[in-house]
Amino acid sequence: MSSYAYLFKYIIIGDTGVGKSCLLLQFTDNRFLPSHDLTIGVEFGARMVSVDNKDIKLQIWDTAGQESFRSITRSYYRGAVGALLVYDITRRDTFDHLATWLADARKHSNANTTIMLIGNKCDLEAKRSVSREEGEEFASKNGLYFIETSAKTSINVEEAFVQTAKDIYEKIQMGVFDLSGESGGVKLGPSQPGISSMPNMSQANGYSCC
Amino acid sequence: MDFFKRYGAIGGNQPQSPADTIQRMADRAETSTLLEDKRAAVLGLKGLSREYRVDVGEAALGALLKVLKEDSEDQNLLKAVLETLNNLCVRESPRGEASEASAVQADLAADRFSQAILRDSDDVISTFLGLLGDADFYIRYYTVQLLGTLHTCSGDELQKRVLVSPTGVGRLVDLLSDQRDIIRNEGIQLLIAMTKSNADIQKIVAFENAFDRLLGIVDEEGGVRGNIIVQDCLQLLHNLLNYNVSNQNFFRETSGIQRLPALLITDPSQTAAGRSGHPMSDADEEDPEWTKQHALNMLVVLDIIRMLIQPGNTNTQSNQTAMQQCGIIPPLLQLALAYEAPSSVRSQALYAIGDVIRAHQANQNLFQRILITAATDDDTINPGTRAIPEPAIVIVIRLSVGKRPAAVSANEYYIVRAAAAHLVQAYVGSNADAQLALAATLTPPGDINTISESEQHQSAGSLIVSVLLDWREACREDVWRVWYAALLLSTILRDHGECKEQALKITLGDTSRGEEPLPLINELMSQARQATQHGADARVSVALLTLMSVWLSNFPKGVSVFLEESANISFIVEQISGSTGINALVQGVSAFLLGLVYQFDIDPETPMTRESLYPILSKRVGADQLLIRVQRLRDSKEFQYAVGLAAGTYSNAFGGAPAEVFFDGVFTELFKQHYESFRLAIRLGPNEALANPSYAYLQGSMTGYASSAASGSAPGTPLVAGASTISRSASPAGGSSAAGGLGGMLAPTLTDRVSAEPTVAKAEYDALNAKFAEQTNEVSELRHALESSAAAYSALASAPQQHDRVDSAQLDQERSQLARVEAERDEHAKEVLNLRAQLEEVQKQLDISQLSGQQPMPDSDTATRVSELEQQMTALRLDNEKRETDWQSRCDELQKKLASAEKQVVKAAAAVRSTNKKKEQQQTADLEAMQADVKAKDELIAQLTAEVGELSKKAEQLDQMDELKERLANLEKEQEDLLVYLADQDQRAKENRAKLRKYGEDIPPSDDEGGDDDDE
Repeated sequence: MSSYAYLFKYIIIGDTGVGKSCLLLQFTDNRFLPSHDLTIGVEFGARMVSVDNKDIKLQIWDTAGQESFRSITRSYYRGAVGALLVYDITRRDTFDHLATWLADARKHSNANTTIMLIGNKCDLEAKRSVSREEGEEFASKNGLYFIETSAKTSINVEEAFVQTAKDIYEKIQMGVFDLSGESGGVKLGPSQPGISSMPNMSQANGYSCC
Repeated sequence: MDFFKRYGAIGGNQPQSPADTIQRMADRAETSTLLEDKRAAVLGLKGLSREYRVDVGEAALGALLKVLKEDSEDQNLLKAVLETLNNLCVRESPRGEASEASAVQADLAADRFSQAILRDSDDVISTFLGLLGDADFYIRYYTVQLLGTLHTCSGDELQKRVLVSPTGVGRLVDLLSDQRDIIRNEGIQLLIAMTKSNADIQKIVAFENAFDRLLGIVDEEGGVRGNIIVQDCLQLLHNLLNYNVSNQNFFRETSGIQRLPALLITDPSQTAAGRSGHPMSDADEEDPEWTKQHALNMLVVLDIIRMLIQPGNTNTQSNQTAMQQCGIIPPLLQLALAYEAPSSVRSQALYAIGDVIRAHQANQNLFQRILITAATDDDTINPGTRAIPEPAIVIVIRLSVGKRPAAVSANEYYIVRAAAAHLVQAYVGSNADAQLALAATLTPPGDINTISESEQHQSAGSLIVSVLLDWREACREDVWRVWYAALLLSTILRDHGECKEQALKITLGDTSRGEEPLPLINELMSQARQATQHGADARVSVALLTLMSVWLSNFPKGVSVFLEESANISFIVEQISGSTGINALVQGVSAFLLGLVYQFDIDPETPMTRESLYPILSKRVGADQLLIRVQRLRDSKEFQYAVGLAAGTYSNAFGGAPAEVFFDGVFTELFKQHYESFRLAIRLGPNEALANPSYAYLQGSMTGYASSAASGSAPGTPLVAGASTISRSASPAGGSSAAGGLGGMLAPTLTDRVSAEPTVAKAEYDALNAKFAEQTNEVSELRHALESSAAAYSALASAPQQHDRVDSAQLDQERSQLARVEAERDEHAKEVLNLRAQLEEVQKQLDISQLSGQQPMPDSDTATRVSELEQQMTALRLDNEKRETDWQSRCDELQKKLASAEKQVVKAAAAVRSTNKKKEQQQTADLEAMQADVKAKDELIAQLTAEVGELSKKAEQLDQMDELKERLANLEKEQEDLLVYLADQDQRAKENRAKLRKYGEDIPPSDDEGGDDDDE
């Protein structure tokens, strides 16, 4: 069926109600549900993206934001290679909690995990209580990527996931990851002859289909 | 007791109780500073922990846990502590089963100590989880064992504790990769226990790649033929997927489904044979390998498959598709047909196939095309007759209604019949084509009394019919054959007018021997009569009468044939009114059938009108009586059981034949749908029908149904409106007035169209012009893109020190791509010229039509202007051509320069830098995009050319002067556009030259540079 060059495992973390599940749903199904149930534990979603003309399968675990699930969701940090840390631009408390989330992620995850900071609900400009600059500042201070999204209007949702994949892909090219391990969060696709080769130029066969 | 003496001696020669000794050892274990003393004390405690469990536990548990936390470097000490803890916590017997008082005491203590460990304030569980990563065999082994023991005592508590540790579950899953089988197997056991009901753990285990690892172990252990470890792995897999939608998604996304078919293949040689198209050709070879373990493993696999495609789940459709695509049906069919396999396995395989194709049109269609050469369960058949491949569906039907293997009891084989029928229903359900295809095979068997001979090469339909007709023979073996034959025929006929009609056409009796042809429907009724009178199993009569109900409902034509045989009505009336010795179920179904016959006796050619039926219904039987019989049927436990079965409340997969099975889902469904209208209908007099609106609707719908069936449309459109539509669409064939009406309707439209033609042509012409302009624009854009890409190249070439090294291979590739793009552009330019020529032609034609027009000649001004314009256009075209060639040569020159620059670059470059590469990729992408552009435009040009051709023809017909004038105006505009375009081009050429100069190339000024204005 679907073959892919690489498989990346992501987790989505952040306070409850910031729109983590909606981001995932928008990304995987192009849908938005205004009243989404609270996530219990962890939910799974998957989609294929293309980076550098390579098919990359994203397996995404969407975690519950509630404190009571925190210990369960920590079990997923170790195996993930990408983490989307989400806050709600209309709720300052969700921004204030970022430091805790980040400390948690840094503590339990792989050192090479790419973390993308996401300010969600950017369609609600009128209710904004965290400015874009503050988000940017937090991200640059902590070495994170930053993007503002709206799971409702789908602004930047694709970009958030793809940008993270690009960064991970570049890390692979630089040889940061050990791809043979079982729990690294990155796996080679089923039929991948070699990995060290250049991002290839043999796209010539792609012409025929245009 | 030597032991105590020894310790006693240490203590100072006084006799001691075991409790004292234990206390002493506990103290020593806790407080000794010397490791040797500690070790000796712990070993002593270990030695006593079985016999004096309570004492050791109470005195030393705290000390042992402390040792564990503080002295984790000493492996021997650790081993002893772990073993001791396990001895303290292990239960003597499963919960609630202890019989002796001492055992109860011991278990209570075990529980107490387990709780103490689990509630340890320092979270000793995470220490255990850490020890799972220890390299030492015994430490790992005792730790898994201890965790298993703790789980038996208090699973929930342990699960909570494990979940608190972020790496806990991961470590447990890591046990699956342990090379030492003993540890791996203990790990599997522990995970099975922990994943039984905890969805959080299920998900984390799956997240830690357990699917891959488990399927890997199954492979290593010999696949589904392997030992109990395989069953354990499959059980764990089952636990992970059961009731867990998230994990099911994950399983599909990680290609888990694709790995299932391999698990079903039991023997490699069989698969090889299967591929050559004779999967079961070696059927005589008994398979001795169907051990109990093999069957158990297989049942878990089948259970996993069915769990993933439960009807109605959101994932079912995609899982069905995935399963079909990875080829799961052939191995399932092999299992179903493997007559040496246990009935439970065969049955589950059939259910699984049914689930794969149910309500999934593509899978149903694929199933329809499967042909197999299979052995039958009846091994008495001459092996020589087995070679002919048959459709899978025929073989499945034979499983349901055919003979059973001699070694299997009727009761046991029931589950295979039921599963096969389930599969047929899944195949026919919401698949009207399949229904019709099966109905088409309904033919009378050559000789009525031949089912005992060869059921081998009968069609699906004739097999069913022959079993029904020869129910006596079939019943001798197994009443379920008859029962399922009736069910399958109901399945084929249900709600499908055309199928009902097809079945109605079947007649029996050899007309060549002067016998009167007897319709199948009446023959079956006569068989029902005989079965009832001869006291056969009531299931035979019930099955035949329910089949009649399904057949005759909504089918007036069938009712009419049914009424031709007067014995039919008297038989069912007899059943209804009889009071003794009549089975209540037969009575009930008869009542329902009589009501249906009355309700649908509306065929104009009926031999017995509603008027003549009415007295029977209202006087001889009585409407109240009839209803009571039917209600009693509805309330019977047998009927309710069938309703529950259809709703999936009970599973009859394993239990053999339940005594309650009399009815099937097809009948109960019909009954429920029909019950309300039925109650109404039997109260109505023969002529009251139209007075009651709901009944009128019903009748209307029936007529609609009949006509839709007659005209061959799909079932399910029994509406009054439908009927009128059909009569209209059917009438043109008869050449009736409706057809004339249609013609009349069409005529004005056509006239309108014809008169509107010139306007249309004009509009098209305008559109063409617009497109042409657009095209020209695009060409210039393309040129611009080429230019800039060339500029980028030269920039790259002239500044090697900036970009360092360039991958020469890549440059080569890009260069060839550039060449390709340019070639395409040239072609493109040619076509533009071509188009222009065509435009001219059109113009000429316009002039001709202008001249030959009946209107007065156009004023001379216009004519002069036209010729002037024409001249100008020609001049422009020539000029443009010249520029094109000019440009081309410059391009070539540029390329040459580029090539030389490249060479220089290659010389300068030794290796590749990644930053450079990105830029190159960008360019490649641009080039690609341009190429796509060129192609798209090629298509456009082709289209335009075609349009020009068409248009020029139309242009000849144009004869109106003012239109011509408009065209002239347009042409003028177009010309202006061209001029602008040319000016543009020159400008760009200039720019290009400038750019090139900037890059240091020496380009002589062109002769037209600065003289552009003279062009016109």
